[in-house]
Amino acid sequence: MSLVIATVDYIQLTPWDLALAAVLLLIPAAISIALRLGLEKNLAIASFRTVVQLAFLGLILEWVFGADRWFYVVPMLAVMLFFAARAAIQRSTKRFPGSYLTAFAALTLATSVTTFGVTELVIGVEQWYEPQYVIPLLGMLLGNGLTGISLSLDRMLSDLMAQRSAVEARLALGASLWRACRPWVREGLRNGMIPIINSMMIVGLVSLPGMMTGQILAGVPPADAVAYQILIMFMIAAATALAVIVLCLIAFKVVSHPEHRVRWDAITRHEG
Amino acid sequence: MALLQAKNLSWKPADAEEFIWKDVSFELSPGELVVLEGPSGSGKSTLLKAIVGLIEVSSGKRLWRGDKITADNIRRFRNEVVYVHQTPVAIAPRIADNLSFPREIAAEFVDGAQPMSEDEQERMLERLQLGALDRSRRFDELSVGERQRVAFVRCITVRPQVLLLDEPTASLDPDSAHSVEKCVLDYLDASSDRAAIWISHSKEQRERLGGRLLDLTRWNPGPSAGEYRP
Repeated sequence: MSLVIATVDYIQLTPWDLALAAVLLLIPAAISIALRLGLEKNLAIASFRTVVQLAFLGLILEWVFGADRWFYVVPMLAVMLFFAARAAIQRSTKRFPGSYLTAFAALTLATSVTTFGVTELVIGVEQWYEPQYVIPLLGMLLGNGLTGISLSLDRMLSDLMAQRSAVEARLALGASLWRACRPWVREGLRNGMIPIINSMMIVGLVSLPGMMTGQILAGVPPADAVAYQILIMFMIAAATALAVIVLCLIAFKVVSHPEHRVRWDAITRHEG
Repeated sequence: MALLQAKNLSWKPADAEEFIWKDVSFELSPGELVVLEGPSGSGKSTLLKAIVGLIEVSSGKRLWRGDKITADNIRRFRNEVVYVHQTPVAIAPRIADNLSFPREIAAEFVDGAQPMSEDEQERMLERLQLGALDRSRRFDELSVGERQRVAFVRCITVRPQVLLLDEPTASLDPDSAHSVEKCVLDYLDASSDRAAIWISHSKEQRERLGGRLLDLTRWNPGPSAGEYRP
């Protein structure tokens, strides 16, 4: 498949347009102040952060796209992976030794295989590091992948701890550690896949997906936008599944003792 | 030859300075019933768990028929020396799965003991006044006494040679307690090479069971040792 954006047919927004849009936020802010709901402060901070962070991102992307060199693109991808791994583990209330590094490795493996596989074999980009494709695709995969692995890890380790007696009773009959823990490892894996499975189930029925909306606003014909949306959904499902499986299996390995028992002291609690 | 030997087993919790029990040494011979006693907190449950390697001892070794227990033989060892938990816990949601699980595990050992068939389990449940049990029910819906009896059948399904019983009748009414006691003793009597270690808090029960008394307090080093609750 080789999609070419036919015409760039959209209305560009000026800073003045955005300032006008910000007026929209004054309505809920005014209501909040009148009713003393206390939302106005967070709303203001959030709006401010949105402007600053996205403006900064826009500058970097312009710079990276303009340079069009792999040694600009790859460090950017590495930074994205680093923050995604950090966010994933920080959201989990249970961790294991090396969880940050494992999350980084799992996300790197899962999203690289998917992103570069698709850009090379499906889209057929001219250069492997084509920033226009690689950066947004990786970003979307990471956003979903990090949610997946944090949900999986949290569920798996919490369940194992809560079911310690059951795990030990299974071991006491001579079960292997894997057999003893399998129901709860499986539950963890399943939990990480729920968001993407759910969104694949309802996509197009309830709302237009964000990426598709963006493409349509940018003037892409709906059929082409749909094609890209299907592609991205498949990529997200594949990358999330891969990341979740790699992370859970490594986590299981780390908390396993060769004498078929769980190293309970290796599972640590944190504020989610 | 002794079935099970404990040699200088010592254990202390990871963050503690004092040992809960130190240099525990004993032997268990075929046909023997050992009653393990000691005040609560003396580490009786922990000792049984440590024997089957669910808890790592600080030092010492365990021998099974003269062989050291290693990562390679520990599963087989646990299949032959089954630890019965104090509180009966569901190892799968439905009763039927709780009873089929030990059969599946036993089938993984090529030259292991033939596990109980479904019919044999049924007869055992009848003897424990659980004949009418609907096996599609959830294990957690049973009363604690019923759970303890199903858990006991679950354990002897793999036909262990040694039972490590952690107060198996503590949560039962006297009638159920007697039937569990009788079942355990019948199970042990059925073959001359079977043996058991039984933790019991009740003096009457200890007298009923007979057997050799093993008092854990002689291996409890300090007065502070009695504080730890696992």
